[in-house]
Amino acid sequence: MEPDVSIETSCMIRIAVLPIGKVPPPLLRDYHSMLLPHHTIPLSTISSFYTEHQKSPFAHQPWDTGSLQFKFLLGGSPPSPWEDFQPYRKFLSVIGICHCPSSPDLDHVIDQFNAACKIYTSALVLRCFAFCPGNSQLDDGKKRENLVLFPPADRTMQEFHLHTMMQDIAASLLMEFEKWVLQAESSGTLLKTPLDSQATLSSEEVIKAKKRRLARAQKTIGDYCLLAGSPVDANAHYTTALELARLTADYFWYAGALEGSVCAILVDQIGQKDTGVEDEVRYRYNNVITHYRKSFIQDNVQRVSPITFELEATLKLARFLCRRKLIKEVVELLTNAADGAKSLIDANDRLILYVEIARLFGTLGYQRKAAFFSRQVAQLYLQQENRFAATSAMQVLGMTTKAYRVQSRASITKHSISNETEPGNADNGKLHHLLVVSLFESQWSTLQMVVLREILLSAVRAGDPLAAWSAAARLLRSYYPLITPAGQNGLASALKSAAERLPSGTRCADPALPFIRVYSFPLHPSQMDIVKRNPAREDWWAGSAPSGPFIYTPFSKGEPTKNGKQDLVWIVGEPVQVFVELANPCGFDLKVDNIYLSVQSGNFDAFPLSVDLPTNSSEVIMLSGIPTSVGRVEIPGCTVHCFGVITEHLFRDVDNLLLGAAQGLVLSDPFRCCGSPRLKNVSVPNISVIPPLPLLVSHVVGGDGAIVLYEGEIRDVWINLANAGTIAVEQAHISLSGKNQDSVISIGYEKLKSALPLKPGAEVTIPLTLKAWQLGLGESDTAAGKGVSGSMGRTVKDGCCPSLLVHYAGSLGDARDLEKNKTSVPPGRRLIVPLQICVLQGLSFVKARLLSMEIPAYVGESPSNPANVDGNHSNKAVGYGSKIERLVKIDPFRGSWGLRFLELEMSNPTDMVFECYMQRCSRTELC
Amino acid sequence: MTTTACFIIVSRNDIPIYEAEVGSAAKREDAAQLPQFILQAALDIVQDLAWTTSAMFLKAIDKFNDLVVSVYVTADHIRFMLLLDSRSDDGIKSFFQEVHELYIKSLLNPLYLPGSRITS
Repeated sequence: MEPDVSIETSCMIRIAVLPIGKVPPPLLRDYHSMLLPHHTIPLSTISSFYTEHQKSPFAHQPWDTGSLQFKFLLGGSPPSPWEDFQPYRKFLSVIGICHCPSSPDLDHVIDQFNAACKIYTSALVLRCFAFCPGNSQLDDGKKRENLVLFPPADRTMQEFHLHTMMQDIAASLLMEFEKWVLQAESSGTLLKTPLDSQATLSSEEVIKAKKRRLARAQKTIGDYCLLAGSPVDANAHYTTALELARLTADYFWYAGALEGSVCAILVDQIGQKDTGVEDEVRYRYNNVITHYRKSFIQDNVQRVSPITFELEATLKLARFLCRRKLIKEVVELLTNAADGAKSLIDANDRLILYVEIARLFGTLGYQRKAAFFSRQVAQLYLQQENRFAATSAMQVLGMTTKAYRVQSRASITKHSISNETEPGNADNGKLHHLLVVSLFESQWSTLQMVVLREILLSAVRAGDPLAAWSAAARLLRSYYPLITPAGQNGLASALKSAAERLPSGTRCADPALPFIRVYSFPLHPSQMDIVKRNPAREDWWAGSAPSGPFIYTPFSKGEPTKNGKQDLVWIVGEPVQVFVELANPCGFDLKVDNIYLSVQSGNFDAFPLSVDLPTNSSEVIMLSGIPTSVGRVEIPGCTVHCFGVITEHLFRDVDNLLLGAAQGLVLSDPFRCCGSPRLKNVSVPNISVIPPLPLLVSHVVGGDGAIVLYEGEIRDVWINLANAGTIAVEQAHISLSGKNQDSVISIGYEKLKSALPLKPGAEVTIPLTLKAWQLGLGESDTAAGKGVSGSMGRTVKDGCCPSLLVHYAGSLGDARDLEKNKTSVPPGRRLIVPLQICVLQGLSFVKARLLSMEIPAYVGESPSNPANVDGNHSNKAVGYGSKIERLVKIDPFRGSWGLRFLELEMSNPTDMVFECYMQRCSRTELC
Repeated sequence: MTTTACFIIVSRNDIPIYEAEVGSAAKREDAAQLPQFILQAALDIVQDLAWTTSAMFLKAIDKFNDLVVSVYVTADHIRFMLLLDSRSDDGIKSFFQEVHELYIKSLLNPLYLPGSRITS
């Protein structure tokens, strides 16, 4: 069987195109492609090359409208045993292609050409085209038969020359056909096919063959008429042949003549749309098929069989009807043809049959059918156990991936990707819906796994490590829940062995493991908050942050919230972190050599990280990087070096996967099966990078721990502010926020002001005077466990500590710039220094009482020492009493009256020793 | 004699929601999934054929080697596909009708979401 047959094949003149001498393959392909446009030579253009030697047998040659059709076969092929039956299978001409610079000796070229032409005994016209001849070759002057030198010229010129040469060939062929037909009409050769019995002919058969001879000759003449572009003549001969063949019951040749007649009709009616022709073709071809079937002879079924012709005829009819969009009939024909595959002897024929069926189904738009037959083709190739067949199998299977929805990402065209991503921002919901549907459709998981396994197998056999890697990666990533741990291990080793044969740094479009999703995009810690600057005001930070108790104020300008996506601002030169979660749901330990954020905008330096993921585990890791220039940052995913290949893991894919898993459409959620909790879908925020800003970092001199104060204590602390950025701080202002603001008695504003501008790297120490506040009820309990974690929250959650707000900013920029563009004011920043004051309970007052001391008159020498009244309470309460002299009214005669003792009970829960001084105040007041 | 039979219910979105494979055919490694491949490919023909007739039972619509695909399309375009290596239209038709009843019963289950996998 031959590939790519159609009804019109019968009128095509087959020309072998052979490389002569050394022709580099790209050049050969180039020369071949120059030939291809000349597949049709109109008869009207060749009349100048044509000379009529005798009366042409083609009486009805349409010189105005007709044409000769060529079919160029690069490399040629061995002659077919069926040449006599169908002359279009003959190579009627041979064109040699010679690249002169690589074969200088033209005589040698001619010898080679003649040798090459030896096997093409049927060739009537031989030509050797020599391209790019050198000067010496051109000057040679020696006339060589059949050698045509193409002088060096530009491509259009060369094509013109070639066109002329093709016209010459066409005219020569036409004259040869005339000769052949005249000869056949007069003498007549015995035409045989392999179908005719090869054994010694019995006398009866000789007579039969003689009778048949005439019909066969007529049919062959008809074939030549067709090749010569004269369908009317052909038809006349075919009609005779049909009559004669029917009489002699030569079914095979009858069918052949009928086929020819259909081709003649089609060529004759070319360009005309006529349903009558269509019905005629269908009727005749069905006839052809039945007659080929009839010619089936039992005794030589092992050797040759007309079944290939029957199938070819079926395919030809199917192709014809396919063009007319008669889907139902085509399907029926193709199904029958596929059935015939069983009876084909040659595996190659079966291959061609399946290829053709697949192609025709493909043109019908039956992608799944096409994929099915393509897979059959691939299986036939795989049975051939050699490397080239395996490569072909791999390529064929690659074509089926679209129908089975297991495409490699590399094969999805750029266009469709951009289509997919473009509406992503505008129409998120709809996009998701489409993707969910596409997930729905990818549910023939068993089939998909089989196809991917076959691709893997063929790629390994064909020695294409990248294709093997990609297939194994797809298999592992998409179908790990259906693969046993042993199978997963096998795939992992397949990935590794494929990677060993790849050069390091190879990229593959299909990600393998692990699964990666965004865990969170941390906002700026409160230490580096960015504040919009209002250049018109002295207190430029005011109004930028929502002030007041309400989250929403109707007066704040409604910020356009796009898709609910948050906006994130990164600053050039300041490292940022993104948390991602990795999951390895497979039964082997995964070693990720390198993972880093992949940024397409190119203004981001990502720091790689290496992770080991044990079996069935997930892990949250922090990926960091530094924005390098101003602009937007797009983070579509992560770049992963794993199993020796670099792949790109997009967050979007995993999001879709999780979405599908949530709806029960996808096999399983890789994160959940690793025991990771369900997470809200985190989307990548819109990130923009702004120019560098100053960055202040603070620490409390003497340790960053909590400042421990006892109630009522007053202490000075120093806070060190250092500029860690690359821009000088021009403005700075300190304010207070939070509770207990009055505990900060003084702030060294002047010290800060005098230090401005604070150059990069410079630091300033600001004194602060603190006074411990009084602990409220119940507060003392929590006071101990106070440890402010300022890293996560924006404000100090722990309510009782005040915070220092340092608003600072770099220079305002050029004043003219400012007027032009208000938004170009670089923002300021806010540093929140939570004062971690830990107020401990100090000496506490328990109770006080006044004891009346009526002392008799006779006692009174030393009433001023009433200490140790309650001294027996050893450590719990130590009372100190004081006598207040003035109050005591003593009359040595009357005794004392109005005398009171003030008894104070204080408690000290600490392990500190307090000294107490009593002081009299204007109002009785205790400190 | 070995028989192969593969029955699949395909949802409106072309995904299989029920698969059953019966048959005594010795399974060769390479041909194990062949019935499914054939049925999946036959969907192409079904999608065109289903609109040309009002009958639910589409008879044998496709064949590969000796395996014949019979299809029954319900009103909501759920397709019952049966792959058999022998054909008896009447038997297949009554089988499909029985399956259709069973399918409707499972559809009536308030916990069953149309288009999702049928487990039994």
